[in-house]
Amino acid sequence: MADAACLGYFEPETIEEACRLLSSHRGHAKIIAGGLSLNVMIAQKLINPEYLVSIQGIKSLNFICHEPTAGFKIGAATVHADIEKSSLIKEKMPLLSQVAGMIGSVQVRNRGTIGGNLCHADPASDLSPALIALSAQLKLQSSDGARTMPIDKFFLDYFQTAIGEEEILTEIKIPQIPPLAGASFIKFTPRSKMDMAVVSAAVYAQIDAAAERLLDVKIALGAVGPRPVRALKAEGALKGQKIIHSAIEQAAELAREECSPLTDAKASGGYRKEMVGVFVKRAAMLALERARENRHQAQ
Amino acid sequence: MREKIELKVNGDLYQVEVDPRKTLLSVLREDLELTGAKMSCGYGVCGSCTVLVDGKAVCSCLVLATQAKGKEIVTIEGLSDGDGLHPLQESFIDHGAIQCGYCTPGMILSAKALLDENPSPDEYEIRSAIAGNLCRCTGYVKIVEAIKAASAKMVRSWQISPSSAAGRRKSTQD
Amino acid sequence: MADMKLPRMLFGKILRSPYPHARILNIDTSKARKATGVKAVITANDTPKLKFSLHPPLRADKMPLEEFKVRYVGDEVAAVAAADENTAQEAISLIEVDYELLPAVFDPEEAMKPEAPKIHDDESNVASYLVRQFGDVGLGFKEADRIFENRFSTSRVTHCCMETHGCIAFFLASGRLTVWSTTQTPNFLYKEIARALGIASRMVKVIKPFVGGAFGGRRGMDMQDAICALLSMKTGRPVKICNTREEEFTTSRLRYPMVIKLKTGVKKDGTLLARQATVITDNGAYNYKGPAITGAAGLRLDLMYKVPNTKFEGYVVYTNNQYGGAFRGFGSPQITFAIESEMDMIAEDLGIDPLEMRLKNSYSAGYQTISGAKITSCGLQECIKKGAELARWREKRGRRDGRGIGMATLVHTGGGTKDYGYNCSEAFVRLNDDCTVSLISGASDTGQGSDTILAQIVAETLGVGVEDIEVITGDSDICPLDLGAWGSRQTFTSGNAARIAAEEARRQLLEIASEMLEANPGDLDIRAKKVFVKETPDRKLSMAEVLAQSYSKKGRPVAARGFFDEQISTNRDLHTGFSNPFPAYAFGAHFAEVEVDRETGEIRVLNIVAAHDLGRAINPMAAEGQIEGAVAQGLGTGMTEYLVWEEGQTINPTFIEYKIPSAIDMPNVKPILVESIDPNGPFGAKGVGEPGLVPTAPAIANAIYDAVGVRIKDLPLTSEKVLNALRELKNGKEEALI
Repeated sequence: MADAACLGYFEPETIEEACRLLSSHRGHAKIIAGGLSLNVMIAQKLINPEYLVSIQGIKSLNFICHEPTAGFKIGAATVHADIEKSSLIKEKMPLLSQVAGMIGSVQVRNRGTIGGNLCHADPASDLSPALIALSAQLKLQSSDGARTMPIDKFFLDYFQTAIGEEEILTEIKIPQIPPLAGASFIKFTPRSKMDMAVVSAAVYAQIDAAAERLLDVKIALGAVGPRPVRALKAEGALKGQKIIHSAIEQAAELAREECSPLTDAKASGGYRKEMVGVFVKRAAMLALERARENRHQAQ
Repeated sequence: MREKIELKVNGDLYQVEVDPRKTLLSVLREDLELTGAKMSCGYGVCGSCTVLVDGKAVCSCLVLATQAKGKEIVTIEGLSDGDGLHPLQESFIDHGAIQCGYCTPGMILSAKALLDENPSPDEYEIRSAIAGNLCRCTGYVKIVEAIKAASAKMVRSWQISPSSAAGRRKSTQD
Repeated sequence: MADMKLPRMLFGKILRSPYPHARILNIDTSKARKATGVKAVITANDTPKLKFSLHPPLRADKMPLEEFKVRYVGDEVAAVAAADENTAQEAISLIEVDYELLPAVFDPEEAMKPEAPKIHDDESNVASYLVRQFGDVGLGFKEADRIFENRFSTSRVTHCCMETHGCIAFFLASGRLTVWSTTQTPNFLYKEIARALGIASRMVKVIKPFVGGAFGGRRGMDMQDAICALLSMKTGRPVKICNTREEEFTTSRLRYPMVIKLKTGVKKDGTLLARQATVITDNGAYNYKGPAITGAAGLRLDLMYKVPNTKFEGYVVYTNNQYGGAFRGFGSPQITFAIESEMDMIAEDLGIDPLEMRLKNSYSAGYQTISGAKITSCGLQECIKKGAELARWREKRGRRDGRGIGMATLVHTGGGTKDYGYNCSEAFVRLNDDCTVSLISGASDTGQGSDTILAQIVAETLGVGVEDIEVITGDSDICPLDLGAWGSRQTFTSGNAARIAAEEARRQLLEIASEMLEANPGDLDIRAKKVFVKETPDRKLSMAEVLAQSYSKKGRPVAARGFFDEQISTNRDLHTGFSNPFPAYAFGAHFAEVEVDRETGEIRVLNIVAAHDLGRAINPMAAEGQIEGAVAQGLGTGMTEYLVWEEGQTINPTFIEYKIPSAIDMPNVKPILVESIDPNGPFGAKGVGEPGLVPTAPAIANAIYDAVGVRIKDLPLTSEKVLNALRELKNGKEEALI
């Protein structure tokens, strides 16, 4: 840690000020929110940032708001515990609360932020596949202005995202799930409940009014490669199809075929691949069940 | 660069000059000589370094000291009011929930954060609340029993004397 | 330990080999020496260059800092002392070492081949070979109706004490060296340090402060103790070294992984006739406890059950892996996994309930094994029966519906061994004039609670409260001879020494009281600090009065020495191998209930009942704590904990990747204490420190079989292995249909 002196530590109070700091120390500054991922990387000597810009004091990055049509907007510096415990989220989008509650330990959820989790871009993140299935949009801001991108374009590689050196992730927008849809997220942690996922699967399923056909499907997978991915072939195989077991089995098989996970200390690539099949199937069943429940309630 | 920061720990104000990348754990242990919080993994996985920041359990090995400015920090040293042990501390001793003791400060603080928020947790809630505190000695059975017993005792004492309970709760938050 | 500091203290760091096997061509320390804040840089040239043995008389093969060769990733090459930890770390990175890479070998079976790279000079990689035969296995197999042969293997697991290894060494110009160390055996460590440094052992004093767990991992000297001493000698200042968690994972001693080939012959009715095992132990790069632990595994062949004919062969093989050491169970978890898995396979084949199979072959107190073990007390059958009842064995067994129940038993020493030729403890007890008691013991408390147990024994004997006892331990200058904390021995041996000392102090006290009360000492008793005549309790004195008489009037302290040298176990006969290895035998039975997901192979352990015969529970709460904690380790080491090595490099040296169970990972654990009252234990007690983790993994493996019909013979028990085995089972069945 002492290899090079820290040249500056800043605590901007506004997003604009934070953006200015990133511009003026371009390439040498790191954003720090809860600090979980960043401090681990510093401890592991993977990075050694000269300038730190703490965004934990920026109030406009810490909020949860909901609009009936647009859905949720969540400030990037909102901690997991707040998302987990938010009564608004529990009511309107329980899946998000559940996923936030699955992340690490209490201590991690008390410090870790939604934005930090996404920007760290660990392929085994729980939030990223869930938010991909939920079609989240990310708002990125810099001194030059703001842009919004769909979350599935955000992750590029292991710990690499599309965020620019001068950009800050400020907001996560998650559209409200329509009444005829349901979403699910399952993570597989065969060793310990405290593990990062060995495989995770998130499914969004929208059904028709008769609950006979799948109108729209999104399937996202975590921990199966360098970044969270959508199982596009599996989605294609399900879209417009009748809701029958064989269709889901077939989609799960396609998802299994289209990914090539790696081996690590937790599991072999081959096993992970098998598990993709199992968990896509399970997540799809769960999403459909929820869609039917939602439909039932809507009627 | 070194930064002058002021930390409020267990109600006392401390001024220290630190590298902004220095963790709260290092400052507590090295600068303030509050060695109750322990280093064990350094990656926020084992919970030995757990302290309370504004009432929330956090791993102090992954919090920069400078980010804890202006917040209420409670370490195990600040848990008892000086007259006696905190009911959780007493309960840990009575139930054999301590073997080597290395995880104990963090474990007790996680339990305190839980009971402050949820005074009568069930077993699953207790186990979830301390899941981020690894213990290699006890297998957690006696720890869970100790937290249950402390919870019952604390709830009882509030029922008997609500005013002093309010006082105690307030003082720990101040 | 981690919390300690001394004035002018420096921090040390160790430069370790990044390669599994390499020749050291040159070490350039010039840049490191010049760095600001660096006070000393040392290499082998700054050491006495003495090869020493961590476990004499095994071959001396280690130096605190290696000179010519490194033999595993993490081997010690150089060290730095600096004003602070970061500076020391920085300086380490400035040391330049030229290595010539050598071919390495990681698989002990490969290392046994003649063409394998040689790890120590040109000698064979087989560091030790053991063979023991009792009865006639050939005849036993000939008479057997069925013979079973299986190959089992166990994984690389490590202690994971919450506090990593650490030490402070302070060398005074007088030549005296003081080392504060996270040891569990201060009475060994001072001699080990002296041996490694080539100095007289009386010049070394070791102090064990509060230590964050041990479990066998703090048994032998860690090289950091010697290196830290060398740095202090060089600088004249106190030096502290603490392992990082990564260093702890990659360089501390681990449980010796074993390949176990087990062959058992039985009669149709389940009677065991012969048992043969060949064990190949991965010794790692250096000698330590490999032969002792392999031999301890061999003891179980006729010790777990009545077996009239046995043969054991053990190969302890050098590899370029991290080397092993003592770990709770000491060889027993490995062989018990094999024996108890095979017991279930035999029972299945013969159509016998595995529980009945075990009861049928079990023994009782008074039994002597073919190899000489004399069983003085035995609660195994009671453990099996009580455990089965609480676990609802009969109701839950044999459903094969994804849920299953399995069991396994164990036998362990309940009081150490004579591995060092003797097994003794000494203690001093002084009754102070304020009615408090000082107990000076050579025992070591590292969290397991021995201080409390010893205090209870002394308090009970002297009729005072536990809170009146001050237990003084952990200083090699002050504390008397004791082999320390290992072999589940402290309650038994240190406890007996404390009891003997307390009894003598009691005798002295009663003698004075008898004069004062004009009664026979034999007619007196002490309770709650009152000395009274048993027949007429009204004739009494307070202990304070008696002590005042003794100290103030007579000027005589009430103080005594207790020495316990158990004459129960025996040293192994060099020719026949015959011995009574343990002074007392602890038994137990675990029952595990699991649920297996057939689609994923995921194993969920739901309940564990752990019944243990501990002679007498001196402190039931502490005994339960030992068992519950050990079960957690047994569960972890059986399932979720395993070091993964690639070319000798540990790829999961963190708690993120090496999973010890958390509070939400633990199943319900229900301990049962069975008291068989050992004739030689203090108040009938036997040790219970180690046994709790021994049978957990095989009980789970047997439960998995009961749940879904697959047998995993190599630890760890992972979901991936279960799924693969389920597939094989299914494919096998499909093929059979065609």
